[in-house]
Amino acid sequence: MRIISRIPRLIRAGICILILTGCASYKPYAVDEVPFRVRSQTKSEGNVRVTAAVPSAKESRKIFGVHTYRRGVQPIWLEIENNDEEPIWFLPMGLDPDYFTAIEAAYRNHFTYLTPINGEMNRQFYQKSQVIYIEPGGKNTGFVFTHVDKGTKEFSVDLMGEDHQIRTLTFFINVPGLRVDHQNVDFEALYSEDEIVSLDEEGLRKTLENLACCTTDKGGSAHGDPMNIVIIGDDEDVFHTFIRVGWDETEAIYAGSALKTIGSFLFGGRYRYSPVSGLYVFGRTQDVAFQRVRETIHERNHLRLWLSPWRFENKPVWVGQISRDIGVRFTWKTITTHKIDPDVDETRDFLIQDLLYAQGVGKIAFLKGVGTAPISAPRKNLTGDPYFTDGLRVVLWVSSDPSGFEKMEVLEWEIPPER
Amino acid sequence: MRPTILSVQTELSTRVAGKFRVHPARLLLSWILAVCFLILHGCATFKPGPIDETIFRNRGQSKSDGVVKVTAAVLSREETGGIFDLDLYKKGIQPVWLEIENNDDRRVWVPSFGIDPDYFAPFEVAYMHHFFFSKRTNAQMDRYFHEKTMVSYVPPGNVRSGFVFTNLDLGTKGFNVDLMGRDREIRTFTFFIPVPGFKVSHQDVDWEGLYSKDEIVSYDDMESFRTALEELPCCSTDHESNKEGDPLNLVIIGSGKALHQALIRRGWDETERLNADSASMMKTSAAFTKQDRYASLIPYYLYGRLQDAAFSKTRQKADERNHLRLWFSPMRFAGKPVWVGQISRDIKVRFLPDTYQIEPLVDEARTYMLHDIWYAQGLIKFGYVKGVGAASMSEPRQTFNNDLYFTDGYRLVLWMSSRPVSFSKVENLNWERPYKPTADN
Repeated sequence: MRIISRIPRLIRAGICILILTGCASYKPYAVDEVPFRVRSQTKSEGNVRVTAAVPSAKESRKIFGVHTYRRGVQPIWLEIENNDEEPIWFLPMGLDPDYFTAIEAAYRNHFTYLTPINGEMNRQFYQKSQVIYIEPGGKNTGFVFTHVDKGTKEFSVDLMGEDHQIRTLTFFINVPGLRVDHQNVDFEALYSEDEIVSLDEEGLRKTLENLACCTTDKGGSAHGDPMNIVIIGDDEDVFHTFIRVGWDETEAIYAGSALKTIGSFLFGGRYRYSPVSGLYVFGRTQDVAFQRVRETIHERNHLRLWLSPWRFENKPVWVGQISRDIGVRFTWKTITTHKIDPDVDETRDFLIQDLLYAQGVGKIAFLKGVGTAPISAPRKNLTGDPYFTDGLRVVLWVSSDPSGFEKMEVLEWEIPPER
Repeated sequence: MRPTILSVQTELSTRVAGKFRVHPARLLLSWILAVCFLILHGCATFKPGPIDETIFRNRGQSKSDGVVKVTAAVLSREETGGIFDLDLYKKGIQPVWLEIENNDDRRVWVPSFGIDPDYFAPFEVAYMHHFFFSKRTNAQMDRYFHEKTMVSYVPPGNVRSGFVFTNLDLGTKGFNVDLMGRDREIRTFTFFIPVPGFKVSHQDVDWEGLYSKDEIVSYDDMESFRTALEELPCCSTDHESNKEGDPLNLVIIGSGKALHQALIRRGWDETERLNADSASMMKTSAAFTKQDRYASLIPYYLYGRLQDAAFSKTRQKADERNHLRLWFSPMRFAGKPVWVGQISRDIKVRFLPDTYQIEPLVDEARTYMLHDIWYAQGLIKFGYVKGVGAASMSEPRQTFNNDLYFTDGYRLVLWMSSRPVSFSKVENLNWERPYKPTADN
């Protein structure tokens, strides 16, 4: 089917007539015939139960008979079971504020000239879609059509009961098809038991202040970007917080991802999961990298995290680095590289705001360790980009349950200077 | 640097004027040299203009809670050009001027994120405008934007002012200035500021003059109001009232201000006034807003006139958009204005360039509106009434634009609040129950 759009129009018309008169076939599978629901998750609140599953690109193609992912449409399957006394309203905006309606999603996948098939496609998408009103004792299954997220798909199912109760059920579902960098890291095996050090508050501060200022290159001799962030939380808390806030995971470097990066560089697309170059701490490259894209591939924030051997109140301590890409520049070594915002503290502040607004920070502190570099005498990273800083790193305690700003705890170790 | 180049040019031209016997080749060469000089040096100047903060202070809106005072102004394209010597609007950047007076005994933190989560960092703005081969000018530009950016902390007893670089909006710019204190108290000041130089659809409507006093019909009890809403015409019409347009599937009860602010808060854009003159902003802005977020909507008619106000909401791309047309009706409910409207969702027709049609299940757009206002915390109660008339998927109705649509036949009635209403307090009147029309009836 996909080949159709690549053939010149006249021939296409001819083929279409052949198909129409001959054996017009648009035969999507029934939902039950595609086993994507083995990856479903179920959550309930009170008497309301929601099961959610996300078909992969291939599975979606089977269910809808067209390659919906290529058209930017990712269906989410929901089963909403209302065992309450009152009806509930389902608000698809919670899944994706810019969700597609069923027929709109079908239109994005229409074939040229195949009007009868397109009509059937409309019906297929429409019949398989979810409803917004669930009666007491009712159960409804169907798809909601969202924009494509690869890696981990995070969404909330917001349900409003006429008993004036809100039920928000948040899901993190892994979608097959993306080779994310951290899936190959065995976090358990990184440190042996006697390498793990549990720290008290004073010990944590001292240890983090004595941590090297910066990431390094492979040899460990040249200084890269400064290590200006520390995150404390279980790996699930950390990953879920970043994904919930809107950061994307990063693909590992392999031939496919390299091609995608080049394509996106040349044609200005948005390859949101593009691999991130390796910087070194603890003698290895980052364990996990996240990125947050703005308009184009050149405008994005990057952050790299390394799991440290330290634990604070039984929570792992992650050290890392964040920078903001503000454009592309040319270099002798790598031809092009991303230019980072020299005001790295501004980028650090962005992260704090980003997590605060998403109610993802339980506790915050600043401490020394990066070493100051004034704007008049900037330091340089591995690619020769200058940066200046007040020399502080921020420590953020994250949790996957939202916690309000007014409840956030502040440890007054260092107070960032006015800027 | 500019004066020197000008004088070179003047010298050249006087020489040319004085001595006609200059060899044409030499003349050409001099011009080429001059042009090269201009390109390499002349263009690479960065001469920011003076910043007269009293203009912003006088024009800007001020909000205060008695302890902290915030003044905000949005710069027009001309002002931006005059001050920064760069066409920031062209790159989609709109500076917002802020002044914060902190009379608290603790410093306050000013996160730019509240104003625009995708704000531009000052070095980013500068880098986007750097010249080739002009290291000094570029460094000057970096420093300039760094210095003029709003500080992130305002110390106790101090006043600070500066710019925040946001994404471009036309019409009304709505944003929050959230100030966070060390006591973790958040002070939120909400601003709705008209962007200078853009004519919106409802700008010249004389709301007071639309109806005389005896044309106004007031309702106080729900039943008679519900009947009146059911008796509204099913659809908007074309200019001659001969043909039916899109169905009137929306009724909103609430003040114009509450409605306007809720829409702006949820990212709806005011569209440009129809037949706006050539000096209008849109003509110049179409090129730089990339997506035609503000394009005027074609007129539909009700009460013998075209829509009083038209909004559109672009979701992620230009081809994902909702349209809303509103008429100020002669009805009042419990003293509140009643708005009659039409909402539809534009969808792109594949393979045909620039061809859109409305989502055939028009009820989807109605649902979107309900949820949008719900999330905006602007909704008190809602209900569905008859009046549009059902049409099935297999026998759709047709508008005068040749759009086909089907519907359960209800219109949505929304009661709006000017104060935030908790998400869970919203009440369903349980008049009619909307349903998903089956695909085959």
